[in-house]
Amino acid sequence: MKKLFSASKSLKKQQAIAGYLFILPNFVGFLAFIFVPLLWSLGISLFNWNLIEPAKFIGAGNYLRMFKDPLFRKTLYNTLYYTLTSVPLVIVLGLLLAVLVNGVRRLTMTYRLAIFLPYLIPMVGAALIWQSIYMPNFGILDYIFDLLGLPILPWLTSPSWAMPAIVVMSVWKGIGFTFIIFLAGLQGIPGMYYEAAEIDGANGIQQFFKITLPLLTPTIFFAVVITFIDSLKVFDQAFVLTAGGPANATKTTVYYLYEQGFQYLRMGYASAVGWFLLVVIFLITLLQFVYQRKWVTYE
Amino acid sequence: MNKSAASTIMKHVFLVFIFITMLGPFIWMLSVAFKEFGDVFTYPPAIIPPSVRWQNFPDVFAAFPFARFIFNSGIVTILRVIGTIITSTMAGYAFARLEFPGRDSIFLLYLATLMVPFQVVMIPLFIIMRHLGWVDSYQALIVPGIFQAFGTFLCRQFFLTIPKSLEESAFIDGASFWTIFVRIIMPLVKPAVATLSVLTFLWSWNDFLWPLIVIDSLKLNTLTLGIASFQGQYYTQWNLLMAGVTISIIPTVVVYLLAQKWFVEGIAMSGVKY
Amino acid sequence: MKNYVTKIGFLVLVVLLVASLNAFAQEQVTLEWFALGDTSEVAAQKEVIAMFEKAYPHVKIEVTRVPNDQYYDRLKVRIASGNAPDLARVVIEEYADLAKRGALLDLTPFVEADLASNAAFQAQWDDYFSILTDALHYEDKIYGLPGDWNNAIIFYNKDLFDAAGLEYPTDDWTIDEFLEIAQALTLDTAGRGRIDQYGYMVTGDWFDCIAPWIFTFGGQILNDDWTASALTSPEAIAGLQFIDDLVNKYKVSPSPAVMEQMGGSQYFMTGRIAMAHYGRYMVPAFRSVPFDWDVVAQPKQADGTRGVPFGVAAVSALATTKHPEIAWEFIKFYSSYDAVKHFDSLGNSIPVLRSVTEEPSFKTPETAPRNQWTMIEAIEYSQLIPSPPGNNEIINVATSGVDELLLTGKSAEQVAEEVSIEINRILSE
Repeated sequence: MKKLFSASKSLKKQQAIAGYLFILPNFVGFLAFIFVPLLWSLGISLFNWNLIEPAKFIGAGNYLRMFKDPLFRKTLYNTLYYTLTSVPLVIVLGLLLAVLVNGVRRLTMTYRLAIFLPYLIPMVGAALIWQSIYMPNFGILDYIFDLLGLPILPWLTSPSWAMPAIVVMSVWKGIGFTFIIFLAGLQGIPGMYYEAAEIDGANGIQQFFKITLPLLTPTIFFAVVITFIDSLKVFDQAFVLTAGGPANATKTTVYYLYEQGFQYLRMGYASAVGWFLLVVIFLITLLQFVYQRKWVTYE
Repeated sequence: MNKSAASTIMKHVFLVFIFITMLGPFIWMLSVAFKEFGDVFTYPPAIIPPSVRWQNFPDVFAAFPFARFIFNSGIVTILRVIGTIITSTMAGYAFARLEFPGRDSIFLLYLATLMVPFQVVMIPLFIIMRHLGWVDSYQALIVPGIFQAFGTFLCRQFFLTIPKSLEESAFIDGASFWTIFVRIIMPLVKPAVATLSVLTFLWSWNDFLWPLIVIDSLKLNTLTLGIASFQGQYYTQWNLLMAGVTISIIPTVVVYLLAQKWFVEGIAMSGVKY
Repeated sequence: MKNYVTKIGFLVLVVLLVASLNAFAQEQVTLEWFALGDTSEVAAQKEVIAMFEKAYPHVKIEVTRVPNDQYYDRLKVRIASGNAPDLARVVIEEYADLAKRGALLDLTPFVEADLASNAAFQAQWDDYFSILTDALHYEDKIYGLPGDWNNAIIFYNKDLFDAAGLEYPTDDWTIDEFLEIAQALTLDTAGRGRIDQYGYMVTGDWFDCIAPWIFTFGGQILNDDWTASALTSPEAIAGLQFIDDLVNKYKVSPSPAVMEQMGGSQYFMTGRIAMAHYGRYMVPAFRSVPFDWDVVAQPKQADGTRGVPFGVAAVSALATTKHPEIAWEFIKFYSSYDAVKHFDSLGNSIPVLRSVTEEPSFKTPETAPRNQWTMIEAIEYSQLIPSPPGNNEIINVATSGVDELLLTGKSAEQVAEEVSIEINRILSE
């Protein structure tokens, strides 16, 4: 790459100074509020500390404790359950909707608004709306099910149904994101591929699987990576809708982190949980990148 | 009726069904927002309130310092957006165009933090706030959010796509880096700025966990924090709560309608959700 | 003439000087009161504060109001970040924890000094219910004066009794009678094929549900010095089993998870529950319900055993306050006759002073709950709700355990076992 500002020695120096000055405000803030805290939290995770009394060094004690705590294991299960159900749903449904909206010419703005709107509102607001929808005995969802002759489900009041209820609500909210990404991806596919396929006699479904899908795989990959990472961090909904219950059925790992750190003031332990989460996210993302060669086609 | 018309109709039917499903909860939200407290929980539930209570909306402002919440969210968001734009464009320019020792390694550092969940840093961040005396203050809500790596990343990527010829001629004419940055680059990066603004607005407005941790007093609550605290200790006034939620989503909807293009481009282009 | 003028002038000067010296001696002092409560409660607190400020004109009390369910989280964060407020209401469940961490100001020297020399305070001290002042001693020191207290009693909906033709319960009723009534009042009133009215409400709450039933069956939650769980005794397990039976065997109550979603007492307030455990703190909310109601004592075993928990909230000063003497004056005032009488008009807690409860306005009230005096009679079988340090985690563990008991197939023995292990682990930290 040809260098933009080519270099006499004093020019180089000038450029370097300018470079540092330009990044200075951002870099200082970055160090102070992101990078240093990141390393610091690793340090804290090796101590017992409740903010009020002095910290006690315990080495790997917090990490050992994590794996011995049945509640922690349960939160891992809950978080994985949430991720492995909501991500596929959000991807598949988002793709489906993008294909549909891309395939009609009228009313696209209206459909787009309706699909994207839930994504725009704060998670807390969405959770509260759904809490009233799920309300036992009085919620509109029970009523609709009743009218349709479907069994009335205990939704948020049952340990078996609470997480599915949260997944449904989260998918409703998250679809807008994948929808938009896929819509942009679809619009990036040159029309001539489809024209050529028409001439060859391929029908809509064949076109989808032979042209659209393969060309979309980079976009799908991107969407999967992002939504996966996000799902592992789920918190707001569980906090507002069920406070992690009933019987800890919706207590996610981040909720557990918040509880341990800010309700029980176990700062060291909570930091350890945070780092554990980071490592998990990192490993999963790495795996996804490695595995992508098998299914993602780049041109 | 030919095949393509039939399939178009099918698509529309399906989309209308989706339309209703996606908007349904909002209709329910509005329904409850206009109900009397006694009508909120009846069986069978009524979508049209038996008696419309407009009073719920002013009541929301009376029961809680709701106007204050809106103000807080507004001020925090605006300042955060401005701060983000200024620092991210400057840094983005430096990473994209200027040569300085360590540039690429530092940028790699930025990239690495993109994957880090906020929850990992929030405890030390809280302690830093404490040392600075910023717990329960506006600064705590505004400042850390300005330095998210994403903003710099987005700007750099965008700046790389600008043709170098403009800068080169300006440079030959003796312009300083700063002048080039302000006079030439900035006008060209309006799309990136718009997108970054819109996304930062969204994240800041909807932020919940950080305000939950760092804010104490009711008068500093942001809007999201405020509506969460509507859940009373012994019972919840659902009609007021839904009225509050309705109010809270209006700003983002308005911004979306005005700036649709930037939202969509921003998410499509990079889509890193916070 | 000149002489007079100078003499008067001199006098005026002296008077002015002395007056201004006085003003300097008592400079403005500001204390921060961390306030918990809804709008009407905080309003009442502000009125009492105004009374105090009138008596102590150089003192200003700033009120910081915090939403109820975030109050203690916030207080701890404030303490942790080094800018604690001066004064706070510390409920017994958090009291030992904060005292142990050294966050509260030790009031023992102030109490002892005033008891020795201040007659008004001696009278006030004797007027407190002794169970309350006993409860506020942590390791032989006292860190707050009683501000308000409550115990658990049963509230019942008189209209539902009338509709079913049942007599109202009396204070000496038995558990069998309680069960009969609960079953008789669990009905399908709308003829829709499902139960829409329940005889009783199991809240799964630590104070309102777990404690009263375990105590009444002769069990304990923790041992006497709060160092270990006592849930694995047969009596405690019997209490847990009873709670389970109420929901799953006799089916007189919906599950607590349902209650959580509706927002606590909404079920009772919309007239769908005939009886429920609460404390006096619900009275203000219940004043607006459209049916007639009253309170009745805890039902007893055939052999007369019964028990309910009581909890007390202290008015305390934080150890870091810069004005401990003035904080002490405020604390005394806040739980003195005038203040306690004023708070009683809210009706949301039992007055901490016996003299206030003896007055007709409390003893024989004109409005619901008319049987209020039973709360005082309950003192003889009330015991302090266990409140060791680390309590909030214990409460979470216990309520999750009860959730599991009621909603999954686990038995009472299993849940008691598992919860005990957790509790013992927390207590040993």
